[in-house]
Amino acid sequence: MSGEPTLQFRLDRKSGVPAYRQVVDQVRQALRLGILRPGDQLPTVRDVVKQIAINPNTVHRAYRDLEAQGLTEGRPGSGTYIRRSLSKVPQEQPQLQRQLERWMRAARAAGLGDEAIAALVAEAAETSKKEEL
Amino acid sequence: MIWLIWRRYRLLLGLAAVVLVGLGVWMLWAGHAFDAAVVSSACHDGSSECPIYNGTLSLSVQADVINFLLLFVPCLSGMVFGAPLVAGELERFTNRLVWTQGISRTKWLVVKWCTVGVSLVVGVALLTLIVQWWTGHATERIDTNWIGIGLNGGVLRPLTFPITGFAFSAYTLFAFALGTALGAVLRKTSWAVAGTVVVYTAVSVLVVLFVRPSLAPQFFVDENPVPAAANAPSTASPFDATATPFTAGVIHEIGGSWDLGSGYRYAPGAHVSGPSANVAGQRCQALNTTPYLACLSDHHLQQGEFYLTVNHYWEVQWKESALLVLTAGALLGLTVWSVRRWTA
Amino acid sequence: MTDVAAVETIDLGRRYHTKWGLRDCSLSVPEGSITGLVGPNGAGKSTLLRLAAGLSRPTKGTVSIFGQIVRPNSTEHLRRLGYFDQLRPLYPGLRVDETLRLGEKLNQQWDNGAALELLNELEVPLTERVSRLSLGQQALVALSLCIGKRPDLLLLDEPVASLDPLARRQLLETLLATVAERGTTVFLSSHIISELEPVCDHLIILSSSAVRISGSTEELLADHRILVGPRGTPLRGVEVISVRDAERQSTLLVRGRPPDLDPAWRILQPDLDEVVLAYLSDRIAGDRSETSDSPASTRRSPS
Repeated sequence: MSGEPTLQFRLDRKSGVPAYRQVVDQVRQALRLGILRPGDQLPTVRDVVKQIAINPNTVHRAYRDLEAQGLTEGRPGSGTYIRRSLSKVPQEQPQLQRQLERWMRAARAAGLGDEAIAALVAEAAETSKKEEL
Repeated sequence: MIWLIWRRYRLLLGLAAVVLVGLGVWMLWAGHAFDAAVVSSACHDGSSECPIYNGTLSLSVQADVINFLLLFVPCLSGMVFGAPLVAGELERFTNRLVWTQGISRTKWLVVKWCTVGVSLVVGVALLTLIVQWWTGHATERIDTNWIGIGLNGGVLRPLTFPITGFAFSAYTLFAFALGTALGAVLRKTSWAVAGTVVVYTAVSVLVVLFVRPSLAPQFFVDENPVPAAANAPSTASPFDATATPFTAGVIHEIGGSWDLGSGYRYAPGAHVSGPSANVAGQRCQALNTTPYLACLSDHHLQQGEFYLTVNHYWEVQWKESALLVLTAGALLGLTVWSVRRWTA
Repeated sequence: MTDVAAVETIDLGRRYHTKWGLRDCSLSVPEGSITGLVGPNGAGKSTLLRLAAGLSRPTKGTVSIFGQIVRPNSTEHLRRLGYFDQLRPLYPGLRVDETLRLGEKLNQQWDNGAALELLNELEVPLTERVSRLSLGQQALVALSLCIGKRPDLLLLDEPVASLDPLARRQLLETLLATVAERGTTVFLSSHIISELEPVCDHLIILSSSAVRISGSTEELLADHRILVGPRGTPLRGVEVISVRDAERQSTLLVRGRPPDLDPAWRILQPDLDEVVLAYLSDRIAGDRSETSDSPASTRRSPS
């Protein structure tokens, strides 16, 4: 054991997000927040599996995904290491954020409460997914 | 695997060793006490009133008790060691543990059986050495009327024979094999224990009644001997004591022989056909017309007492022991078959 | 990696007097997978595992471990598998270290370090008698006996049943760490599905002594959908697994991709619990209370 792991994973079973995606997302999140930096070693599959009880193949898959995204590299006999950091804020988001704020003001003006807004958002997300299929 | 057997049986085998050693020590003490009593008495010459008779009464009782306890040793071995050997594992489901490691069921059983069985046989064999010494001391004749302490005067007698010589170890092995086989087949220790007691007792009785008397030529004493002709060979004196395996002293009651009871036989050399001697003899007995003795001589019958004499002791010992060991082997085979056949 | 399945059964059946404990069972457990065997009590899970371990003799059919037919009286198959019985039998008078010595003496290969590592990490006292350990610690000792053997296949019958949540977690973690290190195939049975969902990559659903369905968990989830619609709405082109009717609404779990559906139907993605329950619900449902220990999940759209 080389001491504290560089990252502590958490599995949200109720979110509906597949386990491997959660692992990928949490590594990406850590990179964004600066918890992980280039050159840091990711926890071994064995260590991850001891933190969250998931299938080791799932972790392998997540790590392969990260490698495919160019974020990590595997050094044989040594482990998996961070290769580059993530830019903090993607370009499109400020625009989307402004659009959302405008829509929110309109919804409030129409008299919609939190629950109704949440229902609308959920329905819209569903519909957009159906359109994707 | 032997380590595992020793580890699990250490308490039980230790207890058994203590019991056997205890019995051995008791025998040594009682034997020596008897020796001392004999030496200090004046009963060497065969006088009918022997003053030490009362003094050794407690020794006589002790000898009876020791004999009694020794008789239980084989059956107890079967109950305590044999019955739970397989059945205990099945009842506690530990067979599911040991039969899924790396050794086969057959090997597991044979190694366990042999390790425990050989330990028991070795312990009992060592004790038999003391028994041999002790029976010699316990049966030394004081006078012709006195029976001799405990053993009723003969090592061929049914209550003495199985705890001496090879038979003691052979009966122990047999009872152990019996207990194990019953445990494997019945799969419950309690039933195997009960079954061992029942079967062992039955076998012991049947051997005494039917097997042992046939293991050596029987000695016959004619109740109505024909007056010997000059050139006819005389029947041997029933008091003719050949060398005993124990001491130079003479054993009471027909030289320490086993009285098998009275009966009929055809005279040696006579042509034997038709009904058995006992049937023919009883016919003669039932007749009113012909005198009894004439009937007997007409049919070449002899009526008298049958004995198994002491000079045949070792012959009967090894034959009976061989039979018991073979039976134990067959019981082991049955146990192996039962274990291999077992399925969850 | 070869194509030989870790466990393969062909038409396997086991009859006890007049009752079949397992029947017409044909399945295969992929090498390197963690396969869960789920079903209610009495479904035949233990029967299947005991047949695979060679403790039971089949009435019909065969069971093979890595391509070798299991024969109860040979040791060939024992070399490659570690078996964990539901009753977790141990010798109560033996100490923990003596129990490990049992493993060493009775097996051809033995890695004492591996067995000890687990016990030391979880602070199980090595000099304590087995009878004085808690249930969870005893289960860990039994598991370490399996692990010390360094098997290629682990057969575990209800390994986490009646363990407190902490012990349950410790046992699962240990198991997964072993798999991560050595690629051991794990075939384990349980009636608590929610614990198994993130752990198993394959699933076999057993009920009333027969296999209902088997496959990778990913495929199982992708293959099934929940349809919710007004009661009486027509439905074509899918295999209906289970139906639950309310006064005005029907909830169906179906298999397959519905080609054209009445727009009144809403399509939702089930979670593994729901898929398994659907296959068990029309049979004798054993411990339903155990499978629903996670509160009702919110419906999610299919991906």
